[in-house]
Amino acid sequence: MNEHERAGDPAFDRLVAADPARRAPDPVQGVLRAKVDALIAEQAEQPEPAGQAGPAGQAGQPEAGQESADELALRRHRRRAPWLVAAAVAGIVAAGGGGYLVGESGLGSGSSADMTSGSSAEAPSVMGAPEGAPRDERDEVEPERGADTEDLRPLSTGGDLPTTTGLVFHAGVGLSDAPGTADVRVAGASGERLGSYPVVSEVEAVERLGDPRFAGAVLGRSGEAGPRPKAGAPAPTPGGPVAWPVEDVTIVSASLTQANYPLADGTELVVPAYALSDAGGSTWTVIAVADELLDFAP
Amino acid sequence: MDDSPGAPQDEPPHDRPPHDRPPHDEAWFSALFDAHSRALYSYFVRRLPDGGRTSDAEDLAAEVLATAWRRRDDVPDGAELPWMYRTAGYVLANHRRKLRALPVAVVPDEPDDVDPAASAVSDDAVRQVLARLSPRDRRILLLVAWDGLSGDDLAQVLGVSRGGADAALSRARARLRDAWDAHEQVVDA
Repeated sequence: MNEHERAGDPAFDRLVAADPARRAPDPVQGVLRAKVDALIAEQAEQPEPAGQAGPAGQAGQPEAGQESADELALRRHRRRAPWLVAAAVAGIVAAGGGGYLVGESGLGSGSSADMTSGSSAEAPSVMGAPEGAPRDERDEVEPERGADTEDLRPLSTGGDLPTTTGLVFHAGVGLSDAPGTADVRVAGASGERLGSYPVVSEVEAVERLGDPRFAGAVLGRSGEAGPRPKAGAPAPTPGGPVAWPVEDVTIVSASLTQANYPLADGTELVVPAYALSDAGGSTWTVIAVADELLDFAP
Repeated sequence: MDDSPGAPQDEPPHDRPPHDRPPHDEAWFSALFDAHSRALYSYFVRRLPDGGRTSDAEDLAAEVLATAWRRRDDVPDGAELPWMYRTAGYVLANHRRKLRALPVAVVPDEPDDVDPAASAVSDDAVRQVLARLSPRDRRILLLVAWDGLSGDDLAQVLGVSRGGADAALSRARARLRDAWDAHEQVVDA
């Protein structure tokens, strides 16, 4: 087949044999061409997105000139099935911010167990925020309303900064720094097992709570309330510091559990996750699969 | 993405193509489509989850081809397919970025265009072994093993010299063998 497929390398031969496209049907050339034409027509109709095309828009189309050439494509795609255009365009545009790691298995008691990363509007600093915050901590969870609190107020312009207390996590001395392995499988009764995956140590799991790559996906505080900043903090004074409470949290126990993790294609995985608890019983949950088997490609 | 124009700015852009270069016109594009659309489609089938639901593989292949038309002056004669594979790597990475809102601060230099955990490889052992490799090794090995690239074409896709590509492939194959050995030890244990 090719020059690299030589004898004596069974590992490579097996890889060659596993080619998923060997069994795949051929594309329907007409449909594919129609999609290409639709995209080209779209390019011709729309101004080029900045920084994407470089000078291509004006680059030489020697005989025909781009306008007429793309006009041809335009006409052709109009002549062809217009529904294909819609389908193709929808296929490209459909993006969907994949929510993920929606919690289960007792990870967040009554908390909005949603590990979807904060999108643009929300500052990423909500990481590890106490999502399932206790009811009696209104100065903590409801200051946006400005109802009965003095110490934390939303900004009136430019959007509201989150008013939750910043958390700094520390690993307690009892936590293990030994990595391990755990199964990853597809959720559901007939869940296919994807294999035994390396998982980070308990100490590394605590570090993930403060790692921006993971913190947005941490299932927030559940269980009892941790220590709170004292109620009735002093009102801001002119020239005085701005209250920006930061709470130190020491994780004293870690247990390897599981969490559901829906992938973009609809598959739901069950992945190993650490439930990390402080002395007060608050628990945070973070994915445990080690970096080397997390695909960070955006 | 590499957007370098490749043409001197002070030359009139519309006038003439370089002398030894066939015009990249509609006929050129049709020939390009006929010659390579199947390969591009297969590229995506191989790398999308569940074998690329047909429409996804089609959409992405169409995106690469439309890009080739839009940037037709950048497409090198004689290396059209490597150029499009290179583009395909970015298109696929973008596609996956859109699908997954991972809170990631790291943008890898190497477009990691294969997700072994979600790939359509039915051979479970192959999938596990692939997962042990670095994204770059995976990318190189699959371009060779599945897409049939070699030599100069591989170098073109990787954007490195021929010697560099050969060496990278050789190292990747060695690591593939190591990964197999390690895998078999785990299985035997």
